[in-house]
Amino acid sequence: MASLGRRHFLKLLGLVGSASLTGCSSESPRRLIPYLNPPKDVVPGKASWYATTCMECQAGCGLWARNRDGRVVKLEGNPAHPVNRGALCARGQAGLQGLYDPDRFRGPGEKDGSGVFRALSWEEAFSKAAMELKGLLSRGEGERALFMTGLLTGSLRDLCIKWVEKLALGGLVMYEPLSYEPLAQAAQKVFGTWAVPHYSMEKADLIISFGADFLSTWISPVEYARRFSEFRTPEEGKRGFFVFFGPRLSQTAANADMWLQVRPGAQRYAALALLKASWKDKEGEKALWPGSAHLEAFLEKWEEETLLSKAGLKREEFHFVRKLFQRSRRPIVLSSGLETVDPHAHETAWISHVLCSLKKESLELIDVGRGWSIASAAKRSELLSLRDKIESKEISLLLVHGANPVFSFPEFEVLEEAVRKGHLKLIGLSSTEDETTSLSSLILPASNFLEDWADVEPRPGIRGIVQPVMGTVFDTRGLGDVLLELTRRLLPGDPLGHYSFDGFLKERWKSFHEELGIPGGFDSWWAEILRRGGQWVEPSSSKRCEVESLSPPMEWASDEGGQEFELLAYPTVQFLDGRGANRPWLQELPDPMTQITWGSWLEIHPQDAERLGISNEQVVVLKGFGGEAEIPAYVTPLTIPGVLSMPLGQGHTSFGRFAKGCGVNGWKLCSRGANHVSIQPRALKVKFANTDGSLYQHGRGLAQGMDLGEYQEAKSKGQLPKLRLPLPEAYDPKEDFYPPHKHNLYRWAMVVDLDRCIGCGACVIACNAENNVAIVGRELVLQGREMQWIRIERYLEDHPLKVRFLPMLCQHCDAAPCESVCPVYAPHHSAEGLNNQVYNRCIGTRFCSQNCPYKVRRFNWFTFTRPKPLHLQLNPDVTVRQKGVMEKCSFCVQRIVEAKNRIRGERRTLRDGEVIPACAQTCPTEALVFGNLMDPESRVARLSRDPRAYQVLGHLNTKPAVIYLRRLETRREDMAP
Amino acid sequence: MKDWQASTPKSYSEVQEVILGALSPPGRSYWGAVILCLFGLLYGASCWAYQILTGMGVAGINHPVNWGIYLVNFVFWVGIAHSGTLISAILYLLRARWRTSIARAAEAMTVFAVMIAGLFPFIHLGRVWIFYWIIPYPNQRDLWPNFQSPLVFDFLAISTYLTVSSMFWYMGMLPDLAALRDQSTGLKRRIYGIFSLGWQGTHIQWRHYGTAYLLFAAFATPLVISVHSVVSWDFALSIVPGWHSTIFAPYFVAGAIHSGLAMVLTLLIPMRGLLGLQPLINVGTLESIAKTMVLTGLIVGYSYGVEYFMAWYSGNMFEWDTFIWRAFGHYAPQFWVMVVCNVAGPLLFLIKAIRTNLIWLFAVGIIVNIGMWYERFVIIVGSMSHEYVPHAWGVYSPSWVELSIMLGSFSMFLFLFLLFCKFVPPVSVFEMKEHLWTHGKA
Amino acid sequence: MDPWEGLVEGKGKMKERLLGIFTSLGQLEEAIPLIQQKGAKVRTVYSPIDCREILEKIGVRKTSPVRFATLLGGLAGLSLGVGFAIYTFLEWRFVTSGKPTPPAVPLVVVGFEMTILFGFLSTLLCMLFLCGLPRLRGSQGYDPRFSKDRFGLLLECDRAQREEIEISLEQAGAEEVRVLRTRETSQ
Repeated sequence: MASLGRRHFLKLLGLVGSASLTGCSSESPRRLIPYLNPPKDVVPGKASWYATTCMECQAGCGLWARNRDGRVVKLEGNPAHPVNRGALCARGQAGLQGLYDPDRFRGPGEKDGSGVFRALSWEEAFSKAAMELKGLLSRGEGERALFMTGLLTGSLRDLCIKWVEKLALGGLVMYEPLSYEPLAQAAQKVFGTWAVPHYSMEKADLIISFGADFLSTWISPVEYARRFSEFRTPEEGKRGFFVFFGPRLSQTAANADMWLQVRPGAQRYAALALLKASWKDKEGEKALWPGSAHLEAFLEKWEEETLLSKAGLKREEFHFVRKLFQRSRRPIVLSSGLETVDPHAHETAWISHVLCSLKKESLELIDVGRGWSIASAAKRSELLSLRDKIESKEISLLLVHGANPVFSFPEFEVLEEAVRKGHLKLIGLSSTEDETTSLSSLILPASNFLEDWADVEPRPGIRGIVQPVMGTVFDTRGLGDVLLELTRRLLPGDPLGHYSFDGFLKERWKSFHEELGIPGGFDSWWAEILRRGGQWVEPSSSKRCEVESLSPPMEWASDEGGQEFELLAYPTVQFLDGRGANRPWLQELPDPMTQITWGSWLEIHPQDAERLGISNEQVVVLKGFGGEAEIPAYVTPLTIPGVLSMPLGQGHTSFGRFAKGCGVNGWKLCSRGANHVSIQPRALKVKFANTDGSLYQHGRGLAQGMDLGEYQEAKSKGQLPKLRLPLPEAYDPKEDFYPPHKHNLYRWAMVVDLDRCIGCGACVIACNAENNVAIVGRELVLQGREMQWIRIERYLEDHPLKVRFLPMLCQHCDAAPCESVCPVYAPHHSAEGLNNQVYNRCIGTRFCSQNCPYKVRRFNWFTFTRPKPLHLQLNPDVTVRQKGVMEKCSFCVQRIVEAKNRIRGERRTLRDGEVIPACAQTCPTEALVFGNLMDPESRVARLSRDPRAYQVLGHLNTKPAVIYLRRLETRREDMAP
Repeated sequence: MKDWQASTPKSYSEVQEVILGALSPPGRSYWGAVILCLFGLLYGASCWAYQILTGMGVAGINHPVNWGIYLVNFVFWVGIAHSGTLISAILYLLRARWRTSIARAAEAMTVFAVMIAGLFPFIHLGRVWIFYWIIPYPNQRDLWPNFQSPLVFDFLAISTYLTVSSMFWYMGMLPDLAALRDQSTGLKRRIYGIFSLGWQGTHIQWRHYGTAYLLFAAFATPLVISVHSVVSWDFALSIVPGWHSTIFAPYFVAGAIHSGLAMVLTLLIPMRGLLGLQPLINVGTLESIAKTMVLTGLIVGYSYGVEYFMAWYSGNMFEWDTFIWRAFGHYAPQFWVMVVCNVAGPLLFLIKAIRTNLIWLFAVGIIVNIGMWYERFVIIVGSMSHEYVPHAWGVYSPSWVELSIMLGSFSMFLFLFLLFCKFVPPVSVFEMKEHLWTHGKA
Repeated sequence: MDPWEGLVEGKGKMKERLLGIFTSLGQLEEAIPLIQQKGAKVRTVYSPIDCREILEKIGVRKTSPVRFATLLGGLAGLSLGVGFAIYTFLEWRFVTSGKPTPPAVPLVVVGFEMTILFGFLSTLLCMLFLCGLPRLRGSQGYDPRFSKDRFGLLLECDRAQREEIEISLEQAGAEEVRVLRTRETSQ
C-alpha cells in the first residue's frame, strides 16, 4: 500500500474526485432515483436495516446491515444474536471493504499460462468449467478432482457435500489456517468428543490462559470479550481474577491481572507444573476419574523443580497461582491450540482440559456438546496427505473457494509447482484474488456473503441466516448457484433438485420448521427469521461435559534445542490469519500493543537487542524452518528474552493493492511444532508507521488506575468523585473566570470505562465507517497524518510491566479551548453541549487543533479519496471532507438528529439509550456509554457519580464531557489466601 | 555626535546632491541582482500555487505540529518590521538625532517586511481561497468573524500596521519627492510630480505637515508595541505549555526590536557603501544601533531566563517538561543556536573596537537575524511537538515547499528594497537640511 | 492657497506682487519686519525645510487644527470598533470556550486598533485638505529652487511703495527680486 502515498493520491484525485460525490449523492449503484415503480424497501434518503450473519471468521456473529439507497453503508452487530449481542469486532465491520474491495474479480474469466486475465461471460465460464470436470468424470476419474473451501456450515456445507457426492469427486476439504485442532484433539482425549469447547467464562471465578488470546482473535473474540467483561465486573459478587501464561504481553495478556512469562515451548511445562501441584491438592477425589492412575503415574515422572525451571517460572509467583487455583471453585483453564503460538499446543491443550476436569463446577461451564463448528475444519494430517496426493499427481483438478493454503500453509508450496508443471489445474471460485486463486486457470467468482444467501451455524443450536443485503456489486454469482448450475450441466436430470440456492436453503429451513414443531405457517416464521437474523434455541439433548479419561497422551514430544530464539507468530486483531489484509481500514488500525500500522515487525526484547547490537527499526534476517525473511526489529519489553514475536497475516504477494508490499508472511517462517529460529542484523533501517508518540505517560496520569480495595471502600462510603462536569451546576467562582452557560434539554456526554476497555479497536473502525473518515496510507501515517477520530492510546508502566489503554476522542468540553481561537466560528458550542465543527465554514488556520490539549482534531492535508467501488460505502448522512478542512469526532451528531426526527411529534425528549454513537454501539465490552448528562437518571449521569470517575487533564478546567472510569487493579495481597 | 558634524556636507545643495546622487542610473550588476530576486520571488510564488492546488500536505506540518515555518517566518518578518517604525517614530519623539539619516531606509524595511509578513498567514491557510471570511464584510447570513480569536486580533493589527507604516513612510517622503520632481525632467518629472502631490513647501503646508507628522509618530509608537504584543498573543492566549505565558508580549516586542535592529545593520552597511552615503550614515550612527542592540539582547536573554524560572516556579509539570525538552530534546540544537546568537552575539558590542568595525557590525547583524529566526522556530515548533498527551507527541521538519516559499519571501524583500534604493531618496533630504539649519543657528 | 486671492477686494488702489528669493532662511527672517514696516503683506513663504519658526513673525498660529481631526477620528474609531464587535457577538450569540457573548476582554484590542487606524487616517486626510493637496497646477510664485536650497518670500504691496520694498528686500540679502504681475481692480 506504499503505492497509496501522496503521489498516488494525486493520480487518483481526478479518477475518484467524482467518487466522493457519488458517495454522498442519494443515487443507487445501478438505478437512478426516482424509480418508475420503486421497490418498497428502498426509500430514498432513508436507511433500511437487514439482518444477516458475519462470515468474516467462523464465530458467526449476527449482523445488521444498514442499506442506504440500495447500497450497504455499515455493518453493526445484531443485538438479538446470542454470539455477539449487538457488538462487532474490527474485522467484522471491515467486511464491508471486502464487499467493495476494488481488487475483487469483476466477473468470470480465465488466465493463460502467462497469467494474463481474460474476461469471460458466465456462459463461457460455466461451459469451460463443465468441460474440465466432464473430462475427468467421463474417464471415471472423479476422485482426481477436489473441492477446497474455507470452513462451511449450514446449508452451504450440505450443498457442497451433496455436490461432491453426486459428482463423485475426490472430496470436500474445508481448510482453515486457525483450526484449533489441538483443542479438539485434546477434548477427544479428555471428554471423548472431537470438539472445540465453548466456555461460559462469565460464570467462572478464575481464568487461567496458556497463550489463548480470547480477547482479540481466539475462536470467538467478540463473545468471549463480552463474557470476560461480565466475569470481570459482575452485577453482584466477586470480581474474577485472570492469570495469563505466555511469552508475549498480548492484548489479552494486557488485560490480565497477572502475566507470567513463559517461553512458547515451555507453556506445556507451566501447565504441567500447575497440574502436578493441583493433583497433589486433590487427595481423595482422584479415584473418581477414569484413567487417573495413568495420570498419576505420568505425573510421578516429573519433578516440580524441573518443571518450574523448564518453564522459567518464579517459585512464589507460581505458588500464588497454584493457591488461587486450589481455592477457586469454578476455574477455567484455556490454551491457545495454535502451533504457531505454542509448538506443543497438543500437550498444553490436553493439560488445560485436564485441569478443568479437576473442578466439578468448571465442567458445567464447558460445553463440548455444542462446541464450535471450527472443529470440523480439515485436520492437519488430512492436509498433509492431500499435499502428498498433489505431489504424486493423484489430484489433477482443484476447485478453490475462500481457502488460501498457498499463503498460510507452507507445505502447500507444492501447489504452485504442480500448477507450473501443468499436472494440476485450479478453478477459482473465490470472490477475491489471493495467492491460491491466482494460480487458477479459470475463475468463476462467487459473490460476497453480503450479496448472497446462506446460513451459518457457529455452534449447534445457533443458526444465523445470511441474506443478500444489496444487489451484487460486480458480475458475480452465489457459490451455491454456481455449483447447482455446474451439476445441471454435468448430470442428467436435476439431481440436486433446486434451480437456485435460496430454494435449497428454504427447503432446509422448512425441515427445521417441522422438527422444531413451530406453530403457524412456514412463511410467517420465515419472514420472522429473516427479520430476526436467524434462529437460536438450546437443543434439549445437549451433551453435558463429562470426563472420559485423564490418561495422558501416548507421545510427549521432546524439546528441540538448537537455535537460541523461539519464534512466536500470532494472529492479529486486524487480519486474523491474513484474510483482512486488503482492507484499508484494518491496515490503518494501529496494532493494539505496538501501535504500528501498514506492515509487520519482529518484536525482540531489549536485552537480546542490546546483546546482538540491534536497534529499533533495524532490519534483521530471520532464519526459520519455513525459510528466511527480512523484517524490521521492534525492540520492546512486550516479548520476553529469547522469544521473537511477529504478527501473522501480512506479506501477501497477490491479495490486492492495499495488502501489497506490506510486511512479511509469518506463516512461511514458522513451520508448525518447530519454532526455533536465528537472526542476523542488517545495516538497514525501515521506519515503522506507528501512531504513538511515546510508550509511557511520563507520570501525567492520563490513564489512571484504582485499587480494588480502595474502590470498594469508597463505594460503600458513597464517596463522590471530584469532577468538573460540563454543567452549570459545576460552576465554581474560585476556579471559573467566566459565568456558566445553560444547555437546552440535553447535555450529551460519554463515559469511558477503562476497566472494561480491552483495547481491541472495534470502535475505531466503527467510527471510520460511520463518519467517512479517510484512510491516508503508510507514507502519511509516517508523517503523522492519520485521520482517525477516536484512537486507543496504549501506555506502558514498568515494574511490574503492565499496559493501560485509553480511548481518546473529542471531549466536547464545555469550555473548549478550540472554539474561541477560530476566527470564523467553524468550531462552536451547540445548545446541547456538542462541540460542533462546521466543515464548510472552516478556512484551515489549524489553531483549534493547536489549542486542543487532547490532540483529537484531524486536518485534511489533501482531498483524500477512495478507489472505486470503495466509495459506495460512504455514509450519505455525513459530509465527505475536502482538503484544507479540520474535522473531528462529532458524537455522531447525525445519529442524534436522526433520533430526534424519529420521535418528532411524540411530545417527549429522547430516552436514555435512544442515541448511541457508532463507537459505543459496537463496543464488545460496553466500555463506552453515551447519554444525556442533564438527566440525573441516565447511565452517564449515574456512572459519573462512581468513585472511579475522573476527567483526563481535568485540571485544565475545560470541563470535558467525556468522563473516564479508572481501571481497577487487584493487588496480589488481596487475592492471597 | 561630534563626528556626525565632521563628516556632514555643509550646504543644502551638497546634502541634496549626496542623497539624490544615490539615485543615479544603476549599473548592470544592479539590474542583475533585481532580476535574480524577481526569479526567487516567482519561484516561491509558484510553490505556493502548487501547495494550493495539492493541499497543505505538501508542507511538512502534521499532527501535532500544525504550524510550521510559515508562521515562524510570519513572526520573523513582523519582528523585522518593527525597528523601522521604532527608529523613525519613537526616536523622532525622543529627538534622537542619529535617527534622521537611517529613518527612511528603516521605514522602507518596515513596509516591505509587513507586506511579506502579512502574506504568510495566507500561505499557511488550509483554504486560502476563502481567506476573506476573516474580514468583517456584510453578508446575507450575517456571519461575522469571531472577535475573540487572536487571529482576528492579528488581522486587525497587521492591516492597521501596514496602512499606518506605509502612509507614515510616504508622507515622510513628500517634500523629498517634490525636490526630485523639481530637479528632474520629462517623464520622470511627471511621475515624481504625481507622487509629490504638488507639494510646494509653503509656510502653510509646513505648518500642518509638521503637526501632522508629529501626530503620526505619536500614533505609530503605541501601534508598534501593540502589533507585536498581539502577535505574541496568538501564542500566549492558547493553552499550549510553553506558549501560555504573560511575559510573551514584552518578550516578543523586545525580540522584534532586536531582530529589527539587526536587520537594519545588515541592510544599511552594504547600502551606504554602494550608494555612497557614508557622509550621512556614518559609523557613529551604526554604533548607536549596536548599543541599542546590547540592551535588547539583554532583555531577550532575561526573558529566556524568566520563562524557565516561571516554568519551574509554577510547579506545573507539563510546563516544566516542555522547557526541559526544549533545551535537551529533539530541538536542542536549534535552542542553543538561539541562545548563543541572540544573547551572546550582541554582547560583543560591549567592545568599542567591535561595534565600530563595519565587518563585525555586519556579521553580528546576520548572527542575530539567524538567532531570532530560530527563536521563533523553537517557540512555535518546540512547544507544539511536546504537548499534554504523550501519545500525540511528534516532531516536524520543513518540506522543500516550505523552504522554497521562505526563499521566495527573502527574495521578495530584497527585490523591493533594491527598487527602493534606486527610485526613492534613501535618506530624508529635508530633515538633513533641517539639521544644517538648526546647527547654523546653534 | 492661491496667491492671487485678495487682489479682487482691493480698495481700488493698484496692488503689486513681489517675490524675494533668499539663499538662507535667516535673511528671509530679517527681511520680514523691514517690509512689514513698509506696509507690505506677506502672502507666502516658500522653503525647502520646515519653516515654522517664522510663522508668528507673519502672524500665523504655529499649531494646526489637524489635532482636532485626530481627536475626532480616534474617538470615532474607538466607538465604531467596540460597537461593531458587540453587534457581531449579539448577532448569533455563539458560545465559544464557554465565554459570555459579548465578552469584554477582546473589545480592548479591537477598540485600540480601530482608534489608531481611524485617528491616523483622519489626521492624514485633514492634513492633505489643509495643505491643499493634492494640487494639480503649479503657481507662478513657485520656483523649483525652493525645493532645493532657496527660500521665497511672496509679498503684496501698493504700487507706490514698490521701489522701497524692492530695495529693502535686497538690503535684507535677497539674491533676486521678481515683480510677478500687476492688475487693475475696477473702481
